Amino acid sequence: MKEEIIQTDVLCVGGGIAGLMAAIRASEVGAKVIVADKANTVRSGSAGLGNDHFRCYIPEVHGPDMKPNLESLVRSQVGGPMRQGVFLRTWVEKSFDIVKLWESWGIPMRYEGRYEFAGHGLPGRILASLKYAGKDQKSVLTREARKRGVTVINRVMMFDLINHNGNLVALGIDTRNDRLLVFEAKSVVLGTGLCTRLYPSPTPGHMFNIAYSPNNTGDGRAMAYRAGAALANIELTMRWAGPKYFARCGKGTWIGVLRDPEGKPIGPFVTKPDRKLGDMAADIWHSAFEDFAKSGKGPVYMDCSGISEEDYQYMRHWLEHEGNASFLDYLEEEKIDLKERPVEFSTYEMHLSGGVYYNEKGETSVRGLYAAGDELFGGISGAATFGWIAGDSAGSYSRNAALPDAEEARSHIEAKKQEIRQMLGRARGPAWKEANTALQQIMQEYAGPIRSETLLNAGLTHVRRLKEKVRTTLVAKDRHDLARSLEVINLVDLAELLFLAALERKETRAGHVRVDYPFTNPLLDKLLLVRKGDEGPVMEWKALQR
Amino acid sequence: MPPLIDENMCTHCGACVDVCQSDVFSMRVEDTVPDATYADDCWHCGACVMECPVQAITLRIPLPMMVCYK
Ligand SMILES: Cc1cc2nc3c(=O)[nH]c(=O)nc-3n(C[C@H](O)[C@H](O)[C@H](O)COP(=O)(O)OP(=O)(O)OC[C@H]3O[C@@H](n4cnc5c(N)ncnc54)[C@H](O)[C@@H]3O)c2cc1C
Repeated sequence: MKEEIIQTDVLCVGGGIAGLMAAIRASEVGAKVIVADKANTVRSGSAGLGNDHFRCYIPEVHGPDMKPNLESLVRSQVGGPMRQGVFLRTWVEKSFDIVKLWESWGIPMRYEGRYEFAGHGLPGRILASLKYAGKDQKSVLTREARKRGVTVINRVMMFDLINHNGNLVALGIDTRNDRLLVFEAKSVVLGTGLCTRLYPSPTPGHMFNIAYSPNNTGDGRAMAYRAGAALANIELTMRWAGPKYFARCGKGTWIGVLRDPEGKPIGPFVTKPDRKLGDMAADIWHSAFEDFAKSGKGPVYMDCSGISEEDYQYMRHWLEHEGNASFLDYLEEEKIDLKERPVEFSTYEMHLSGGVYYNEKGETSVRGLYAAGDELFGGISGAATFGWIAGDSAGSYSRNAALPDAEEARSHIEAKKQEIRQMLGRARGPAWKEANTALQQIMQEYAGPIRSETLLNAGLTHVRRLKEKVRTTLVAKDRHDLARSLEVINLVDLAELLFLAALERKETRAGHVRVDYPFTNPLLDKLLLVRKGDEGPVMEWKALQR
Repeated sequence: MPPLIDENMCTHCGACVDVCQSDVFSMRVEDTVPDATYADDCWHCGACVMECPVQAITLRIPLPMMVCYK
């Protein structure tokens, strides 16, 4: 196996929105920066095909008081309730600066010359989601990073982070060629996005049909944990909703009313398509679609009938920027006219909303290690804002930090190389997909929509058995398979931690339904941190300062 | 299965191989039509369709992803 040692001040693991923003900023404060991305930063990650809602506070639109904006963020789906107050305030305060930056780089942040707020709206409340045309945002960010001297290395899957006496050495494999990349970095920014593929997709047999990028498999979380950093609320999950079976985020862009089969709106917010509001029913009533199905009163439809031609074109325009172009193409091909045909909506797969704990400076609990974006879910604006901040912190930190020496971690590196050689060399054994399916099955049954002490304990045993199998029997037939296998290793590690944390959180809250503890306990309005101890995972409760 | 490349239109530029975030495509032999080697990993995001300079790619959405309408 060819090995390449690469030195840098700042290594951005993942070139999504957060990673590229971190790279741009770190390089502006004088650091030598490398972005290593599993795919190609131009179209990678959940934002690769575009987005259209950017949460922000613009004083000239919202007025001088940022409080209503802050309150709406606290209540929003992008992770408000379980964040420190200072984190949320920093986010709201900084968001407009990022909007202006993006605008100066050529990402269209205005609609017909003005700042346009629409979608995810409640009647009578402020609108906090700025409509922006994000279809080509990632080529813009990649270009801006390169302009500042950032080196982008595509097709490298980072899979391990070694913390050797406080020095960080990161390992990645080339997903197409025989090459192991060993990074000696003064600081590392994790930005690998969400953790998907732990739970089954809404369509059997189509593992990659999920709402968020199926290529984000929590690698950053697994790496952070191994390097000693704390993960937060890893047991909490979330689910998105949208057109049934065609799993894709973007429901906030629809202009229609969620209705039952008789045509009655399921929520109290809108009775006819409303361009400004959308229909918040599904944002707020997360289990609506299942509740209707279970009671025999479903299905629930997104009904755009009655929409004006102008609003219809407006919606199509934004769906295209929202990464939903392939969905629109499909509708056209199938001659499904949204103006006439209500479309069934449903909830999609579960995925983690918790992740790497990082604060308002992007710092994790390990010195020199930073994280941003969906490492702890926060949508586009969260990723852009805290990516920028984390890049600033990492760049500044690197000024006085020493370069690590990978030789000191040699035995660890050799052990990893050995694991890789074995996976590539085994004649017989399960492929990654078989292991991933087994994992999803356990997660769904034992740590899925219903959790309890007995279920979780049984599931933990199963996951540990599976982990052992994965470590010792996986077969990778080529480099692509190898990358997928390393993803599964990370997923199984995270699954074990999820079970432990889910056992510890004895209450019901945000996608963590403990039937044996059926209510939300205000005393547990806290972060549950899990980190690696000498004898296994250690858990700690951390209070939230509002 | 999912991404279909029109062999007569494809110019073998490799844009799809370059951008696909799921690493679906490979060009095993230089200057040939890329092969959708890992079609099962397709997210149906349409990046290949968008980036193809000659519009040689279409997505075929698998039946289990059918949109259910009234
Ligand atoms: C269709 C769609 C529409 C959406 N619309 C909106 C919206 O309008 N507003 C909003 O706020 N949010 C929206 N979201 C969510 C939003 O896209 C994400 O929250 C955001 O992209 C998070 O940014 P990130 O940088 O943390 O992760 P991502 O943008 O997902 O980037 C993660 C990056 O890490 C790379 N990576 C992963 N693992 C590794 C590894 N092991 N090694 C190297 N690289 C790795 C990936 O290739 C990718 O480039 C939408 C999501 C989808 C799917």
